[in-house]
Order: sequence, then C-alpha cells, then structure tokens
Amino acid sequence: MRFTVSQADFQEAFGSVAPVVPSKTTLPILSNVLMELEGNTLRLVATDLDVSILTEMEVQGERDGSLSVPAKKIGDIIRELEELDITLEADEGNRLQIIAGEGSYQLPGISSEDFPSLPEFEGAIEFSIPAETFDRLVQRTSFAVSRDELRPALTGVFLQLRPGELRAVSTDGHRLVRIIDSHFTYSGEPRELIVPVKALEMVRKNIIGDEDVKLIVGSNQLMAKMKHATLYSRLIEGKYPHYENVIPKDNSDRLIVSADQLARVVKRTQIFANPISRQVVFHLERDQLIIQAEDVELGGKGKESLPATYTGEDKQIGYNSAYVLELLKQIETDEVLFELGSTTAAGIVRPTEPREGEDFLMLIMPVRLN
Amino acid sequence: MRPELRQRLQDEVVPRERKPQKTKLVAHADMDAFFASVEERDNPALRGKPVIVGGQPGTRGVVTTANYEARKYGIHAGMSLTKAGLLCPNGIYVRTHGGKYSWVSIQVMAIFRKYSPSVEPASIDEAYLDIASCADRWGGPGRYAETIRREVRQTLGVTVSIGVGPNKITAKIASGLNKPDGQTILPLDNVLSVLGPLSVREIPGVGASTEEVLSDMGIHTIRELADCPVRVMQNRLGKYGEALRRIIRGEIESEITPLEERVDDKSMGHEHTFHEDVQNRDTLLARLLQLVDKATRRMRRDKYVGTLVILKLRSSQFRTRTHQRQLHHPTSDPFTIFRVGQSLLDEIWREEDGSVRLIGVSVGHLFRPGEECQGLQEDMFETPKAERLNGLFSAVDRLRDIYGEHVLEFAGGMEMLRRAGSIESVKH
Repeated sequence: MRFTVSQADFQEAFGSVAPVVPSKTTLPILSNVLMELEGNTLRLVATDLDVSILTEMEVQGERDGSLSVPAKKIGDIIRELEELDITLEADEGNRLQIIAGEGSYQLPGISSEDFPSLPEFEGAIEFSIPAETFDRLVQRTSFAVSRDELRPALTGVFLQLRPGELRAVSTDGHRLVRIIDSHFTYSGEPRELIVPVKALEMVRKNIIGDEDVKLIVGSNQLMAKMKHATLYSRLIEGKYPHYENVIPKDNSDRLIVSADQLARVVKRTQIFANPISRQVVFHLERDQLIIQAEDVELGGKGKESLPATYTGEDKQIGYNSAYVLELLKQIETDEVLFELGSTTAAGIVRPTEPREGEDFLMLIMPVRLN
Repeated sequence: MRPELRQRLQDEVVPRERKPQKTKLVAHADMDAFFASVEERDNPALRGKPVIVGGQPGTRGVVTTANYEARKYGIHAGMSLTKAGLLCPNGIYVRTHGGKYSWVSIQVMAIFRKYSPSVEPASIDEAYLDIASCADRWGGPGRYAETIRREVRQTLGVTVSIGVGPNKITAKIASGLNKPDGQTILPLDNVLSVLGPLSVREIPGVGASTEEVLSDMGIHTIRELADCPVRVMQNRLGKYGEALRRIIRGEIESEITPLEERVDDKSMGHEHTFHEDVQNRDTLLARLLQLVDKATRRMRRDKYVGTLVILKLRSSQFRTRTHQRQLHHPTSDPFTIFRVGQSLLDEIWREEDGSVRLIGVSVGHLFRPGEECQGLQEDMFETPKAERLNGLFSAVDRLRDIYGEHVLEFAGGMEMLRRAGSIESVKH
C-alpha cells in the first residue's frame, strides 16, 4: 500500500473514525485503525466490536494494499505535521512509513487480516431523520444515559418508532428524559430499539451540514449512513423499563422560576454542599424559593433566595445539584417549570413553552433528606 | 433477643483497635470439639457418650462437630450424616444450635480480650492472641495459658487448648498437639525441637498438592522442610516455599488484626482464609456470597449504605490483589453487591490462574442516609425494589437475632457448593 494525501484531508478523515477506538482494550488490534487502499480510494475503519465506523476518502493511490495501524500514534503524528502532502507506505514487515517534507517516521502495524471484519448487515426498517432533529435528540438524551454496567439496558438511548412519531428516552434511574418528535416521517410498523449512546454520539459528530441521517435497523444491529461515513452498531439487548409508569400523573405543585437565575444560585450554593452527595435543598414557599446547602464535615454553609412563582404546599426537597444543573442546561425558554409531588417522588421539569412539534419532559428524583 | 444481650453482642463485635500489629509471640486458642462441648455442658447426660452435632443420621447435611468419644468411631466434621449414622448407630445426634454457639463464642472471646490487648478471632471457635507484651506478667507463656484455660473452663464450662509460638502458624500447630484441654509452649529458640518430627501435613495451608511436591523433594517432616536449602525451596515452590520454610523455623513474625471484621466509617467487609486452597469458581462464589451476607447484615444493623465494592484475593503464592468498582446507586443490598463482587472476581481471576488462599469483600464509601447532610438519592427503579428487600431483610435479621446466623442462608450459595461437589445435594 502506498498513497499520497494532504495532511489536512487525512487528519479530518482520520478524526472521524478515531473516537470509536476504545481507550482501554484487552484486544490490541482494536487500538488500531484499518487502512485499505483500492485505486484512489482510501478506506478507514475503526471498531470497538460494538460500534464500527467506516469512512472513504480520495487520495493519490500508487499501490493497493491494507494495514492496521495504532490509532493513537498516527493521530498524534498527523496532528503535529505541517500542512503538506504526506506519503504513507506499508512495507512487507507490516510497518508503516510516513514521509512528510524532510521527516520520515515509521511505526509497526498489525496485518489487516487480523482486523475484525465489518458485521454482515441485513436491514429491515429504514428511515431518515433531518440533521438538526438528530442533533437535538442526541444532545437532549445522552447526558442522562446510565454508565452503570449492572443495568445494561439503561446504557443506551431508547428509541420508539411509531407512525408520525419518534420518541427518544434516556434514564439512569436518578433522572429521565423523554422527547417526542411529532414531525417524524415514518409509516412502518412500530419498533423499539436501545442504541448505545456512543453510536449516537459518533453519528452526531459525523453529520456534515444539514444532510439527513439515514438509519437502517436490523434484528440486532443499526446502520447509520451519512455522506462521508457509515456506522454500524450493535443494539443493546434486554428490556427497557416501563418508563411511562414512573412519570407522575398528578404532580399538582407548580414552580416557575428563571432558569438562568436558578442555575447561577445553585452553582453558588453547591460550593458549600457535601462534596459526595452534592445535596442542595429547595425550600419551597409561596412565591419564594430558597436554595440551601451545608457541609457538616467542613462546617460550610450556603443559602440564597430567589423570586419564583410557586403554587402548592410549603415543603423542602433535596436534590443532587449536578443533576439540577444538567437539567437546566436543556431548558431553552427563559423560565423553567417544575411540577412536583411528594418530597420523595419524581419531579417533572420542562420548558414553560413547548417547541413546535416537540414534547420535551425531564424527571428528577429527589434525595431523601431523613 | 434480650436487649442487654443484643447490646453486649454489639459491644463485643465492634473492635476497639483497628490496626494490624506485628508480634513476636502468638497464642492460638482453639476450643475443643466446640459445638459438642456446649451441648454436653447444657445436658450433662451426654458426657462420656459419642455426641455428633449436625442433625439426625440419614437426613441431609453434614456433621458440624463430633466430640472425642464420637471421633473414636472415625466420625469427623464435614462427614455426611448418613455415613456417620452407619459408623456410629448408637451415637447421640443433636441438631446445630447456631445462636447458642455464637453466644458462647462471644463470651470466650471476651475472656481472651481480658488477657491480651489484641485478639483476632479466626472463626467461631478459635482465635489468635498477641501475648508478646503480657505473658511475662503471668509468669511466662506456660502459666499464662494455664490461667486463660482455667478461666474459660470454670466460667463457661467448656475447654480450650492453647499453643504458643513465634507466629500464627507455629502457634496453631502447637495448639493441636495436646488436645483436649491441653497446651503446648514452643521454645522460641528451638521451635523445631517440638515441631521437627511432625509431618508437613500438620502445617495449616499445606494441602495434598503441596505435600506431593514436598514429597517429591524427599521432604516429609517439618524438620526436613526447615533444613532444606532456601534455593531449593524457592525453585520448587517459589516465594511461598521460602516463606513456609522461614515460618516453621520461627523466623517470620505474624500480624494480629483485632477481629476479623474491620469496621470504620469508610468500609465494612469480611475475608476468609480457606483451610485448603481453592481453585473452583463455584466454591469461591459460595464463600463470596457468605461474606457479602455477613457484611451487609452489619451494614443494615448500623444503617449504612455504600457505593464502592472491593474484592480481595490472595493466591496460594501469597500474591494479593484487590479490585474495586464504584456503584451508581448507594446500597446495602446483598444481591447487588454479590453481583458486582462476582464480576470483579471474573475480571481478575480464572480457574487456570491457580488456587486461591483467601477471598475478601468489603463495601466502601459508607454513609448513613440522612446524616451529615447526605440524604439517599432516590432511584425511580431501584428504590421500590430496595423497599421490598428491606421488608424481607428485616424479617431475616429478626430471625437470625433469635435463632442464630445460620437459621437462614442463601440457597444460591448451597447450590454453588453442590455444583462444586462440596455438599451432596440440595432440595430445590
């Protein structure tokens, strides 16, 4: 394999597959990116066995061939090179030579035969999502996905496809996001799937401009086709919990407060919270909200009140301040609406004005204070 | 359970000292046929007759203790009751009364603590005592051991045998040399004058496989082991061999850790050293489940939840590894903690990695919900589950308070032991 390519083009293409490379792995080959040259087309592939991504780019090919090379090292050297044409060549000993200006670099690769092959894919359902919608869905849901390996179903985003409606749900048990997009153009059979959050993030990163993302769903796999890249992902097996059951139906106490102001108050008071629990207490009174935090070990305390519209019983609810701040980040309206019930039950958080064609709801579980 | 008894239990269980201490002089105190002795004490009519604790012959289960009369018939702990029934049809078979033995054990340990600043219970019926600083006050180790034995016998009506040596292993061998109701004090300057002629199998931790290697090397007695050149031991048995040689020569000091349970605000856990090294995953898991059960029972009693699970493993080569995982949700649920422990075990150990000498588990980052501005984060899926389990475990805890720890055990652990071939059958 031998080809020449501009440093900038190569860096861009390489950058779109490299984030799939797992940072820790027991299989050394997965730390590599596969390069395959055929004519003037260079193919780059990275995989962590769950998620695989492939991109193709035009180069000046001289000799066809393939080799897998350590992603970290290649990424590091390409980034540091001047903006010149660079020549990459694989020798018989599976070594890669990089020639750039006066520099020449060599690093050992692993034969491409050892690189895992892309999954056989048979799609059953096909649909498209506009770039902007996809971006919103992923951004809104990915933060609440669980990292808990003990609950694998929660480590993905739950997608429910229904005619004319797409629902995306994520939760880690402490908070939950549900977003319903009613501009969804889909007329097939209803289908539910749990997609690893890494796959969705990878697609989002690889969307260029306002292209539609084409998604094809197989029995246990998903394929996403973009202009410059194709992604394959295993779907997470298992049953997603009945999330509708945990969304309270009769939370009658309503708090309306400036989202921005609340975020700033929480940021200030949480400095004085217990660093592990990050617990802040919302004191809810008629037309007033007091946020309070205390760290018994350190002896620090913080307390601040802010104007709010509250209708309901006076009460105190504890929350993890980090969760509150994450939720507030998702609010695009000036004010945020909390619909609350008992001090140990889920609270609903949403924008005061829904966006056209979108139903957006978040839940936050309190901290039991005593 | 009577309130004062419960208080006593708690006082006794919470250790006063926490740090392991090195010592030059160790006493190993080992109760004689403990369960059977307690039964004889409570029913003097049993004395002089073969008493077998465990259950009725022909029923499922094994002998937990046989008294010395019963041992004459070839009955020993761990034997199936069916076989015991065949060997000694006229024996007196008594079911195991766990709670009673625990209570006597607590009283015995309390006596030991009167005589030593640092007592490490090794199981319900044996303990190591650091006596380096106190034996002389009683006129030397011999008089010291006599004094403790007398107090146990007179106040509790059961007997204990004591061995004294330069480290735990030599002390433990010594305590077995003069049973029942006896004592052996090893001369510190010449441990081998007593231990030398014994078979290497008498050394705790030397099982069939090590014995075979030693036998290949022409080593059968402890003296032969002690006299073997260091190089040769290292070549054949690695670090373990070298350590073993130095231990039985009395050249290595031991650490005494007051109480097998280690309690502080940050973690709670238990560990177990196997009598014989274990290479079977199911056996390890069954033990892990028991340790988790013990640790979580204490967590519930003290109202702790934690978010860190730590697994500790020591190989037969004395290589110790710990591995830990942060939990997403604070818990004291034994099922969750066991599942995490199991996955940690599978990450650091496979059967082909060799046998295991010690397994331990602890839960860290403990806190009491509601205290010190740390409430319990509610979880929309886990909280309802935890509430159901709380009901279950408060019932389990009450039963155990009344009838002893073993009145209820996880069937999963028994099933694992059955798969491992350690017990014969389990009714499903």
